[in-house]
Amino acid sequence: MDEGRNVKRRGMEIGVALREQGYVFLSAFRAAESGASVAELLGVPVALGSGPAVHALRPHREEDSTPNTYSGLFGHGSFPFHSDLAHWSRPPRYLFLRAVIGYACVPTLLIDGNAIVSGVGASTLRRALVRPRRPVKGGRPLLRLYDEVGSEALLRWDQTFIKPASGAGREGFARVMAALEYVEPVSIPLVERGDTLIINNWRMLHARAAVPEGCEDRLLERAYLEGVR
Amino acid sequence: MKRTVKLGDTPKEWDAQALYDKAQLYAERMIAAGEEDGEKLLWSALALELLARAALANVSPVLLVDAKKETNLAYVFGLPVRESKFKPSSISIEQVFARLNNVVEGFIEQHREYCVVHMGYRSGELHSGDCPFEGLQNWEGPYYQAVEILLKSLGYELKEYLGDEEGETARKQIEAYADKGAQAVKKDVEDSKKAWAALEDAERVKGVAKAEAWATRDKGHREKCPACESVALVFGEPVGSPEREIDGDFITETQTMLPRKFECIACGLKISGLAKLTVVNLGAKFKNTQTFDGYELFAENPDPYAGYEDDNNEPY
Repeated sequence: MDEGRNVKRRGMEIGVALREQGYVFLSAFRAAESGASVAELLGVPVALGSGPAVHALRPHREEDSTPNTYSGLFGHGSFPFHSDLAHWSRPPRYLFLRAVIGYACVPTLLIDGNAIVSGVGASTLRRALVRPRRPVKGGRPLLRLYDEVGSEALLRWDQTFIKPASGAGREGFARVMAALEYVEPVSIPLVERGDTLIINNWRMLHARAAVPEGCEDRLLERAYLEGVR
Repeated sequence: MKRTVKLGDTPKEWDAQALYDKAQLYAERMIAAGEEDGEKLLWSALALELLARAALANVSPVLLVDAKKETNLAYVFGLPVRESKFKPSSISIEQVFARLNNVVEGFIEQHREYCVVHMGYRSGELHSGDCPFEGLQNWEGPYYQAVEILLKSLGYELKEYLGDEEGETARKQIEAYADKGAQAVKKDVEDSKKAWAALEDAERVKGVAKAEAWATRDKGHREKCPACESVALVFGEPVGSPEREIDGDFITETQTMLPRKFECIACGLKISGLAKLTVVNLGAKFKNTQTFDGYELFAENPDPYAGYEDDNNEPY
């Protein structure tokens, strides 16, 4: 099968997996290629700001980071479940993670947001008004934990970067926190070079396990994708 | 077009979703105020204003813009604004309700009137030493009735806006208000009937004749009075665009009207508001037809020599 059809077939598989389970894992995918070229192959990378679209993610200690970052807040400890840039009016659609130096003991954990929505109730989450904890582009707009963008649903969650803005927001927040206690996460270790994980950032919540001693050189490439091919 | 201009995003000031989100926030504060009437009503007015602006912005954000200031128009389309220290400005809330009356289905004159009055109380509360909200009773029915119509235009329900419990309460208050209105109008009709029956025959004959002469088609829609059965008039407000038919030089324009008020000059019965008119079977839409010369409609330069014979170089 030629390269073009192979890519097209894989694209269909990725699309199906993202639709059905909210994420797709590709084991040691094109390991010799750079994250940037794989991100371009699989989707439409988005550069946030003036830098490149693909970033290197390394664990940092709290004292070496700033409080506007998860490393600055949690250091090598586990990161709580969240969706990326949940405090933005329109968070990135897909999150692309790729192992450069991976460890089985530092998996990426995933929770299906559909389970949260079913458990808490879509109407409760839709009414849950929240705000970024700090100004974003000069303002702190009202956001909703669960919303619709065209025909797509958008679940946003970050217990640190967004705060309840009203009673309904506080109720939604409390119910999600409670739901997270009983939903069983899926563990996806990114170990081998080229292990690639694409996550629907509008549906899935993800977390990073704690980084034990000896794994501090863990290195992932991360990009945000506007769409997948 | 070979090239279209790409417009920017609608600014937050006039974004329908941002306005709606804030309206819900204020509605929550209204509910949280509990039995503190003054505070509850103040939040109710603030929430209503934002909801109204959201409903209008949902039709088009441009409808909120104060067009007297040109820069507002560039701003609403997300285009660059060159004016230094620019501050966007919106139309007044009275204008908002007037425009909603024109563009939002179901938001009829009685809702516009009610909302303007409610805003008036808010102005009094905020800008004077008076406390117009204190002691205001039975406001919830008409208030939530207007709110529900605005929500529907946005695709929302009462429960989504107010929460399950308050949404259910609001629904009951709307129904109770409609029911109370219905009882009141039935009583008015009964009272008018009794007063009419108590008149002398000669007075009734005179009343019928007077009504017949007064209730002409050019003034309103002729209907039989539910109390005295004389000819009376229903007045309405236009809904939708008029239909036009051209027949030679003449144009017939038919406008669908939604009943707004009823008046009978024979027995003196007056009924105001579509809901009440519907109770006494006077709530059906009617058509207002006018025929006029095409020149009346289209002629910008009417014949300056109208009244003279046709032009003729040489009179014969």
